[in-house]
Amino acid sequence: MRQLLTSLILCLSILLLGACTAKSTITPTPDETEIAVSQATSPSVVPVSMEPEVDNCVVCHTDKQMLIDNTAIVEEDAHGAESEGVG
Amino acid sequence: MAPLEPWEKVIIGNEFFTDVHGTTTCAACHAGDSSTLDKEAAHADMIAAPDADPQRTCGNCHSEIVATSADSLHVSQAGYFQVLYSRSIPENHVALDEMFGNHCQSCHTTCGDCHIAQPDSVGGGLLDGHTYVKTPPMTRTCTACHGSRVGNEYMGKNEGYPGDVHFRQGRMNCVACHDGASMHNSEGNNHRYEGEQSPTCESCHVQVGRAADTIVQHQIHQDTLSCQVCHSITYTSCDSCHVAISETTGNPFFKTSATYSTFFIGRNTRQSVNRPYEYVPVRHIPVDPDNFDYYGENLLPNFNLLPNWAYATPHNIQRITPQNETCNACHGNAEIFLTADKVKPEELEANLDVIVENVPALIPEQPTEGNN
Repeated sequence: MRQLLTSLILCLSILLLGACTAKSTITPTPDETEIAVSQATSPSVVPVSMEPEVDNCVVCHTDKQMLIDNTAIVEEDAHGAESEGVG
Repeated sequence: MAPLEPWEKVIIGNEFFTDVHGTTTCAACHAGDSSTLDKEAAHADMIAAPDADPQRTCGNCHSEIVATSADSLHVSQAGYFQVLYSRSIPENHVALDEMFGNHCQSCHTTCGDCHIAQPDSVGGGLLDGHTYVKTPPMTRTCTACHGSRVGNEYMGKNEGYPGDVHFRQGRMNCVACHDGASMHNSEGNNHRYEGEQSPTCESCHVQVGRAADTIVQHQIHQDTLSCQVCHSITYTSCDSCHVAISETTGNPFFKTSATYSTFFIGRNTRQSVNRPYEYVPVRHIPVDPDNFDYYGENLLPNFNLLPNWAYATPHNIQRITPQNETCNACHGNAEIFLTADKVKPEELEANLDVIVENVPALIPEQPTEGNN
């Protein structure tokens, strides 16, 4: 009888310990991947192109040769080549 | 100053992108299409001068300056309209406005005309690769417009006449006297000789005319003569600036009939509590009754209401001048006063209030100790 009681307590203890261990292992812990996925799928974020947008104004207006090629035509004198005397 | 090459006018320097103004996109101010490298397409609907609407651009951060500068004389050019309209009648204002737009508007100043680019009147072009220049460079902005008279006088470019002592010895540039506050705010005045004088010589020369002033001539003449009467030298006058549109190119042009050196003391027709002087230097300005005949007949029917020998503040100040060397270099010296014989007969009526009828009499020689 004493042996049976000891075995029963031992089994219950094993079951309890097993239950505690099992519960701790299945607790969900969000990892970095999950966070990234969660943010990426957030409906409030506008999808953007992976490639940075090129500002062609800057591309041209910082390139001396490109400007020379594109502004080679002599500008009209809008301020009066026919003017005479001190302005 | 040599004009900029076309590419130089529009190239952006790397420094611009480190400036706070360079942190936004080009299109945010200039519109256009930044997604294409095709010149025509990129520039379609582009706003070349976003500061034409300063409230939308510069005013976002510089709201106080933008609020007052809209009425500053540099922006409004009210001084020109005041004298044009005074010589005219309301029925002619439309024609005069058209004339002004074609020939004078290029001196209209936006924020960028001083702080980003050269003014249109000298062909435009970025000052420093689009970097915003807090203090406008004198020769590329100020004297680019104010060159033929003020600039040449100040820097001594009139042959035979030295530059202003403040430039020669002090290397002072325009903003040393004409500071940003006065450039951005004309205090509601519609002409540069209205309202309080700003700047004044006394702002720096604080002792002039006061009890501690050891120069007796300052005590005697302080409210009778403007400083320039004694301290400026020969300056430039012009005659008759006629304007028209070229039949061959369609571009506006002007022709002044004469430019010459003068120094004449006349009566002050702008006498006020701020400018109490009886005498001031006067400069012949190039306005004639028929200056604008291209735009209509008799556009200045009230020509004689204002003089064309005008109050002047020549920018060629010297401590010692021909007229202040001795008392009688000025007193009794009719040559330096604008007397009637020096005014064209057809301009006599317009200048009656300026003409000096009685030249101040000679001062009797003061006996010196050696003569006693």
